[in-house]
Amino acid sequence: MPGAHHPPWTRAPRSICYWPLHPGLGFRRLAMTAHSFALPVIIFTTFWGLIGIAGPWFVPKGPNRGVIVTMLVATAVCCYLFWLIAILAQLNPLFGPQLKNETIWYVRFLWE
Amino acid sequence: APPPSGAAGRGAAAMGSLFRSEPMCLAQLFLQSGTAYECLSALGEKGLVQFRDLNQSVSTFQRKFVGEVKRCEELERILAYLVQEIRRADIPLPEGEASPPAPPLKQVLEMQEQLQKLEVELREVTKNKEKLRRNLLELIEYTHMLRVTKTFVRRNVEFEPTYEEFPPLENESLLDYSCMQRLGAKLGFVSGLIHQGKVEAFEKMLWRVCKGYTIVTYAELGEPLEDPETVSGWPAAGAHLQFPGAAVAEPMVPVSPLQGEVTKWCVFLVSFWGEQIGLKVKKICDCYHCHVYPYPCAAEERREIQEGLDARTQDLHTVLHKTEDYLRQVLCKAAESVYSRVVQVKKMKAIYHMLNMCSFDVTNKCLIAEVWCPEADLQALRRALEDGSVRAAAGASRPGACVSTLSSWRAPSTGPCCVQRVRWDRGCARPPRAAASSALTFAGVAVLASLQRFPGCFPRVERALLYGASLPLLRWQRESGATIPSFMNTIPTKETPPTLIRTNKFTEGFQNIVDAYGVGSYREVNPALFTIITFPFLFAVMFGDFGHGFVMFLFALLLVLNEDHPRLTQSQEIMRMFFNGRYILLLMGLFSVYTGLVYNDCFSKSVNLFGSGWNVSAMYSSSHAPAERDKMVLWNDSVVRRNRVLQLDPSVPGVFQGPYPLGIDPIWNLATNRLTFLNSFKMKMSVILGIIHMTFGVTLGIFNHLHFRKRFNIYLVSIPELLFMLCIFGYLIFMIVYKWLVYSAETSRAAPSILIEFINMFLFPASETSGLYRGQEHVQRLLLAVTALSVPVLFLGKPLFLLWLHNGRSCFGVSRTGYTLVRKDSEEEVSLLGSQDIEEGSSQAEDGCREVTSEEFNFGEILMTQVIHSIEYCLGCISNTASYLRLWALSLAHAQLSDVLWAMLMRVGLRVDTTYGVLLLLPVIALFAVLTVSILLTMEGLSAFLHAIRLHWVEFQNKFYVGAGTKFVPFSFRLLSSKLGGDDLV
Repeated sequence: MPGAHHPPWTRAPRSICYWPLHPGLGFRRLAMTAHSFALPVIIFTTFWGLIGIAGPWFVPKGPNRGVIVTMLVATAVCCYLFWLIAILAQLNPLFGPQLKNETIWYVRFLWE
Repeated sequence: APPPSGAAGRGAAAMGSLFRSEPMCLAQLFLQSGTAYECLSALGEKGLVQFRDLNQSVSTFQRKFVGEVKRCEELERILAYLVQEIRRADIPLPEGEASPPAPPLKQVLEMQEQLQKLEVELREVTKNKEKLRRNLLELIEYTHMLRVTKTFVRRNVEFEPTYEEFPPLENESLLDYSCMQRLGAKLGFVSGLIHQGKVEAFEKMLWRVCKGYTIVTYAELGEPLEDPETVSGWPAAGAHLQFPGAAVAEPMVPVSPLQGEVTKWCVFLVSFWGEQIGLKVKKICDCYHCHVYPYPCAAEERREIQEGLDARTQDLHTVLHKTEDYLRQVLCKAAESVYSRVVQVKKMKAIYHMLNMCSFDVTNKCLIAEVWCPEADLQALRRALEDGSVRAAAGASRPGACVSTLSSWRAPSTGPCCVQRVRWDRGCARPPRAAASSALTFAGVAVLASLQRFPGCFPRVERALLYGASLPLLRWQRESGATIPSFMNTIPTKETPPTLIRTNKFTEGFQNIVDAYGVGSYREVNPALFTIITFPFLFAVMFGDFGHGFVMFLFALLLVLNEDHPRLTQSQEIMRMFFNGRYILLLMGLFSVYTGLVYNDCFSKSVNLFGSGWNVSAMYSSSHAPAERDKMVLWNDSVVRRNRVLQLDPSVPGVFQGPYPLGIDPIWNLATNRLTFLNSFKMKMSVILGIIHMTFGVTLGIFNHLHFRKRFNIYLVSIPELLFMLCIFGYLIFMIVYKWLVYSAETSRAAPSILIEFINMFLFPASETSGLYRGQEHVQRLLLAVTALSVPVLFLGKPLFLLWLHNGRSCFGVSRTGYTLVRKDSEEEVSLLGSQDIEEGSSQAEDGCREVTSEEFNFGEILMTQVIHSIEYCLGCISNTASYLRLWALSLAHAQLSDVLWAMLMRVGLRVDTTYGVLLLLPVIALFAVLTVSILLTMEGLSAFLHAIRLHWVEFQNKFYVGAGTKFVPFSFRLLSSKLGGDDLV
């Protein structure tokens, strides 16, 4: 298997491959549930990057500047890392959620 | 709250304020004995310096200013007495906001006299009042007795059978008492009051002792009366003399002022025959603490007494009222100034305590104090000394005397210093000759002082020399009799200064967490700076729940917004604990909101914000092309109906449509195999966070080595440590992330277990397993080799290097242990160059050299220390990584507990049908809220808090923090408790 996979970021989002099969539902479903990996990564990296890298430049001068800068950087690092771990862990699920049949009905008709 | 010492805006490099403790220097203060008090008063107001005890060998009672301290204690005692009396009179004590300065010496005697007079007067008045009141009570008792006994005689006559045994003379005359007298001169009466409880015993005793020759009649008094014997002005008289604080702090007097014990009384009348028996009866009365009053024999006598009593009672009432009014007036007047007096006396006492720490020089004219002072505050210290001197001189100014301030000095490079400004007192237009000569004295003094002040002029100025140099100066002073200002010198030292980290109300709590483990060594990297974020973050990882975090955040926000509220600042115990940690709570709440969002938990329920990435419909065969249906296990309606539990298959196209953008997919909250997924995720997350946290700690160690100029430590300790950590556990992170990225549902069967791979890394199994990637074993061997190489370097590198350095002549990469900076620069240079440049000044290399050689070199000890440290580190890496799994365990516990609470309460409440549902739902919601706050927020929060503390203290700080310093405690009046009757400073 080594080498058999492309890194995930080179793959197109799966939903785009499959939704043409259901032209009726597909459009809505894409908007609702199809998540690309790249978009959240870009958004969150920019967000925490702004706080952690750009933020420190805007801290006003004063005796507490060092403390505030350290806080901003540390917050950005911690929060970004935490989010990244969560999304990476779900990127390629090895198994799916096991649902009760009632839940399946519920999910099918309320979420989709 | 203001920073603990000094003005806020002063000095301190921006980053340095929390990253390292401030640079300190040892300074010697030469305080002229006339101005010492004022100087210390000025210093105490500013709180700049910490005094060192120079008389440690001298016992407390043999010190110089014992008398003054005694006097302060006497004043404190009087004030405590005053406060007690004022409180007892229910007069409000105004607590001034501004704290008055310590009283000038001249005022002290005046104040003492005033206070003593007041005390004597008060005691006198109180004593009189007490006496009057006792009198009054006795009169009242007497009146009651008379009233009751009046009925006795009649009753005796009518019903007492014993009377009939007497020789019956004239029955009718028995009514009259004079008749009784006539009957026998020996008949006597004793009457009085006795405690109700003692009556029976009293009666029995009388019967036994007097063999029945007495007749006891008694009647209960309807209303309870006060006991005049227990009336006293100062019930705690003995106690409050010794512990003024304690006596005042707790109101020891439960009864209202000057009130005796209220008890039930019995009035008794004993009639007896014979003198002998009368004596016995009186003795027994004494024994039983009866209040005996003369018994009027005749009716007129009785009436007279009654009238006299009434008149006296009335008089006493008026006198008592007058006395009380007067007492109140006196106390009211005293109450106005008592607060400022208490503060003043406290300050004065503190000053004398500090003066007791100073040593006298030979001439006894000058006090020498040694103080630790932050380098940034030296200028302020000098100004405070000048202020104190000026104030003292102004206080003692005589006509014609001149007050001079040495305000500024030239830099040493320009040659001898001169006094730039001599300010004459405005009182004299032209300086008289005496004053002019004293100004000349000044110039000489100034030169001497400047030579001391700039030890840079002399390459090796020692402390002894400084003392010597100060002698001529003092002689000058003594001979001329001039008032010269107190001044200071910085002196070189090899002692470790105390640690000062300036905090504000926000950083204080975090600094306290670190200080609870150990106050940082001098100039060591302070973990509190990073704790500000990492502590709430690690807490939140364990406490991740959007709802709970938000409640905690709101609570903390309330505290923060109302932080000036007096009820909060003076609250007790638990509330105070929350209040002090309000900013920690605030950040903990905020981070919990974030981690709750990522965990997708809000009171144990998930929120589907972006739409789940899992598509259930795609599992149905109807949504696939017929050709594809055969390849996969798909569902249809009957399959779903028949199976209670079904698992989604991500390898079926369309089922998994990409990861949920923010945190955990909400579908996992509905899944029965939720824990399988969450455990795997959280476990890996804990390990990753933990290893990064620890690596960060080791990296901070490098900053310490750089600062203390132990560059060799970086190569021989820090880098091997980092290699050891990263080659084993860094690689573990790599494997985790690699598996996440590369293996997907289609290849899930081939995905190797990371744990097995990690174990195989060390075991070199014979059978080739399918690894994660090609060439894995080579990479792993390389990493293991690096690890194996770094271990001996870690064990032996530093000791061997030090040995080599000790034996060889060359000494590059000089070592420094703690504070060894020898100050050779003048303070002016300090203020010009800033602390950073000085530390990297030119004199370092040779100093360092000297120190390495001068230190006693003990190879065995160094080796042992290093070996122990290394073993601890290597084993610690493994156990600490495992220890970070508590992040997983606690977050799991928290999520499960809130889940259980929801299932057992809310679900029950929500299932009831609509008619009764509303009625049931309200109590259910109330109970849910109570349990959520008490169990999930308070208890779970506390446990997560403790575990976060542990992770910081043990796992993080272990890697770089020594924490062997002592805290800088400035001599500051602000640290004196401003409350009345609080404890003393010293």
